[in-house]
Amino acid sequence: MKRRLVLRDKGVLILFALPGLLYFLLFKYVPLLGNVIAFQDYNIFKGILHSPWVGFAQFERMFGFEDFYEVFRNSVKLGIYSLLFGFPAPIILALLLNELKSMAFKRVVQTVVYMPHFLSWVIVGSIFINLLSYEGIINTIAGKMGLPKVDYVTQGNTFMAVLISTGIWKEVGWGTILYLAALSGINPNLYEAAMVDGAGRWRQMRSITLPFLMPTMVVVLLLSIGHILDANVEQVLIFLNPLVRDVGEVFDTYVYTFGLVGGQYSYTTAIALFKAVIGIVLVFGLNAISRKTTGESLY
Amino acid sequence: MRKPAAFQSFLIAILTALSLIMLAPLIHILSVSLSSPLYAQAKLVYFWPKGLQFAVYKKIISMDEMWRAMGVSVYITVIGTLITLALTSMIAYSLSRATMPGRIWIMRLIVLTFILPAPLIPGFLLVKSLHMLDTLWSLMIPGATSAFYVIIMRTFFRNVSGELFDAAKMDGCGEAGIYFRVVLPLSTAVIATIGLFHAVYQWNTYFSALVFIRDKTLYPLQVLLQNLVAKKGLNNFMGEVQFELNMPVTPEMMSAGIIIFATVPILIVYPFLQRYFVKGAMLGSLKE
Amino acid sequence: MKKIWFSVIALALMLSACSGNENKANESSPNSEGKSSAEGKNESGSKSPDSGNKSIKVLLSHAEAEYAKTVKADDPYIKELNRLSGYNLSFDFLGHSDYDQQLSLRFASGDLADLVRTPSIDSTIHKDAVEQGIFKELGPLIDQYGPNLKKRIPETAWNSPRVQKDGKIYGIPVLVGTANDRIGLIRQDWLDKLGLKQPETIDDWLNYFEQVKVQDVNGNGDPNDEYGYTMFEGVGWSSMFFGTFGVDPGTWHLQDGKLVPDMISPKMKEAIAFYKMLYEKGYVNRDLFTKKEADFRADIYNGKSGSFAAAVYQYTPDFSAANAPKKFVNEPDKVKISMIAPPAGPRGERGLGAVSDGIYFVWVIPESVKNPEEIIKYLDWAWSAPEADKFFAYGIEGSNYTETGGEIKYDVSAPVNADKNAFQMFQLSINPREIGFNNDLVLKTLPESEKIIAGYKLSADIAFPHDSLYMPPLVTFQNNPEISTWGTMFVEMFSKIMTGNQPIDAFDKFVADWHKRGGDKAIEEATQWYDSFHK
Repeated sequence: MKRRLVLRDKGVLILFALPGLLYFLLFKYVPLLGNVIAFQDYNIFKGILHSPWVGFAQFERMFGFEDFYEVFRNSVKLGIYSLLFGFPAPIILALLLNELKSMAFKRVVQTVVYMPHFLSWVIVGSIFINLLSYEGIINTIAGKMGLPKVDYVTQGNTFMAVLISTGIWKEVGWGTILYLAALSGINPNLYEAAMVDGAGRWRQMRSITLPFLMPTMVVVLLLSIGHILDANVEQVLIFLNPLVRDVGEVFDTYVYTFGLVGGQYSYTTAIALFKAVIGIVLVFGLNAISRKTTGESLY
Repeated sequence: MRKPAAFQSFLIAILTALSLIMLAPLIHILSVSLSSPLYAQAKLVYFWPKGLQFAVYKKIISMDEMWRAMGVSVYITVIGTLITLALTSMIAYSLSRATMPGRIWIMRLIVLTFILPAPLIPGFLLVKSLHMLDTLWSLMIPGATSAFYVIIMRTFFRNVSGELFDAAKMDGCGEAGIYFRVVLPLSTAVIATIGLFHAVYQWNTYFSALVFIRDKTLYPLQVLLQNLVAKKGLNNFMGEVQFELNMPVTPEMMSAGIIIFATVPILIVYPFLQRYFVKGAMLGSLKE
Repeated sequence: MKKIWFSVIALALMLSACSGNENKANESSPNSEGKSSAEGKNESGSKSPDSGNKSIKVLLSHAEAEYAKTVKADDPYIKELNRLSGYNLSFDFLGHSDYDQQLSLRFASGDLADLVRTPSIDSTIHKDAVEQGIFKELGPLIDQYGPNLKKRIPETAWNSPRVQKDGKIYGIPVLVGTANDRIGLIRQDWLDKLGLKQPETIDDWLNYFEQVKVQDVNGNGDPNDEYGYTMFEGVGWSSMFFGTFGVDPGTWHLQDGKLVPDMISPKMKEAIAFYKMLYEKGYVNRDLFTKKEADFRADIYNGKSGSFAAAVYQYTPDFSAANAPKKFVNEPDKVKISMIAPPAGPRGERGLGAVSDGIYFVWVIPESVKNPEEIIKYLDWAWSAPEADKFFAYGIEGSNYTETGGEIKYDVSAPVNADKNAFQMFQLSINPREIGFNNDLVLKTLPESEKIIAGYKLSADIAFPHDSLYMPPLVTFQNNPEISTWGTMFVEMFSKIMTGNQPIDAFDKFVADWHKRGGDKAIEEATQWYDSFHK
């Protein structure tokens, strides 16, 4: 009797998963097969089946590119900094919102901070470039206060900071939504009980809020690491200029220049695949570590 | 210990400042869209319209196809989001259950799709061979779910208290019963979240419509609106038209107006969803 | 379930079946499902799709023309064109910025039209298309059915490798319609105020820049907010003094039997030193490498720019006596703009805008098309019939223009022509010949037409001669875009020297690096092309 029930339950679970599984098979894995063109010299008229195979030649070409190291270094730097500052930012904002007593105010703030997500980088970029330029507002104020003027967007040592901070500005509110959803699951009785025990704000956050957010944080962190070498092309392109190309050129902008030349499907696919392989190794490796240390994992 | 009231005032001050920083560009964009081209093209508009006029919005509203495109966008947003939520919650639920056979491997394969690049040409040929070209399905089905949605939803489902499952089993619920009667009602926050994410994604449908839709009557709002913006640059040699007279609005004003016009409908979705985010809405039925 | 597996198999077949030959089979009935219903509504003007071999489907980009972007079913201009020509044309206007991508998808999936716009027959959008037999060879058809095409389209265009390969013609050029359009624009009212004549020599120009720098020429009380010369991040467009030193970063010159890019010429070093001096002295805006085009225009309209590089066609909409006051927000009553040539340099050289093959884009006809001779006949009509000349210049009689006693009355700023820039529809979007704005028939109807025609003449005079006319994109550059002409390597070096981040001698290091990173190969490839082309 129980066995049959278990079998029936398994059947139900498989049935539940089936549409999704078919979806992933058909709409994700079938197109993914297209990635084999990274090992070909692909031509649209010959198709995948008739284009000549070239083994790892496209990858060799990538590693042989004179600026490969520079581009790789910039991509890694941008990825790590984005993670270092971009990952905690929405968590901190969510925790601050969580402390608010006034519900009405909280709702207004929530709605306002997620608005920049809806603006395009073309518009946001041109606004920030004007603000940050030598004759822009920020330098004008700095000048009046006797501080040195800095051409933020064309200086090698400030360019990355511009990308990171504008990225946070645009996406922090949007990123908060997920954490607010997680926070809504906490039973208020827990806080009350903790207060009776004399736990202060910090203790409550450390022992109730953060552990509760942990699974979401781990998942978001691991997934972001999967895309660590992917930059927001639209964003980088709008800020990138020849004076900072040596510190600002990343894989995606490099690939973009090939898009302009056109027709280099195999080479650009090889680059994308290279980034993905690094992402995969990192995600699966770190996932295993996370499972051992925090008990949380992607699967 | 600090006084709670002082802490609250401090918080309110910080968050107000933050909100102003976030709001400023939007106000700027709104002002640009309401100014006269004379001031807009000279970039003399900041946080208040100069030479107030409504030409941008008149132009948007006067397009006959506008309401039709709005209808298309509402349709794909509503239907697309429902499909997504059904598809995602079902697979996420079964993958959250320890009894699901092969769940670890399935999850691994799904995570892979999150990272691996999806090439455009095979995707296009797939949609074509499924006879979805020039149908609204092509805008909803290929992006119907994603590894991100599945992983997030599964993580939330796993947080539902195990005791409730046992109780439900006692009541004679099978897996389907647990899904409908326990997991879904307790997961409104994550469902609202994924629903919002996907609704925004679907509302902003642009590129896939350019690729998959040829019948202009099926264009969603964003495609129609983007057609109003002249994406021109003198500095590229791609052969764009460079001779125009009587521009009642500048391209920048048009982009600004489009952002306002196309964003407001989706912006107001969030405040409605916010009641699902209220602290303790689940009354402690989740894992403690 | 079954259907899904069927689709997977179909996909597998598709992936393999995209070779040219099989495409042809599919071609005659492109995308039967759902398409037929779309046609009536979508592709304007095709009232009866089955009107035999006189129906021509055209695939092209809207080129950002406002009217074409939002064209409706039953468009009057397409109707009129069909009436005049006796053909049944329908137009599919794809987006402009994503046209390359869309076109390659159409090629990959095999649904093309009868007449297709492409930049060149050897474009990387459809790499190897000629070799794969995708395009119809048009030479014999043109000889038989299109006598006027050879007559009216100049030989310089037919000679271009963009339309022919190995002596065979695969494409029909669409013309720019003018030899050159680049020109300098200068604030004539500022010159007058300063009591200067139009600058001719380098010293005249530098004197003008100096005066603009020290005086408050825009009269707003701040003597420091105007520059003699302004540029923006599109350096290729906004630079106007390379020709003065006998170079253009985009062109090549023959040197001791080898074709060498101007980028690495010693004269280029002089030119860069000149730009560096402009920057150091504050004659040019210091934020030029991050300045977006819209901000550059804003500076011009705010009265912060004394001169800038432009094109003649910009004059009418933005800088003419009628329209400039609607743009120059602070000086609407004073502003006056003149067209001007950049100065001749130390060796008497000057130039702005390289001499070109005069081709705007190229029509190709897919091999599978059944009625190529009809398409050629249509193009022949477009190039030769008097009613076509009139239609592609002035639109529909009685609506866009009137004709009384042989005299044509056409006003470009009349609402019927100017609303949504409707004149672009007949002059450009559905005009299969050329960019109609530059046609003499059109130019002479514009306000200040003498000034504009003189501007085009001056522009043609300063077109920069070079030895790389007709040179196809080099394979070396496709593999290493960074070393190409105007590539990132050159622009980076230029920007760093100009702004003083690096000394002028960094140029020599750039040249050495350039040679090492594939430049030598590029020179070899270019020289080979030159020798075989000019046999």
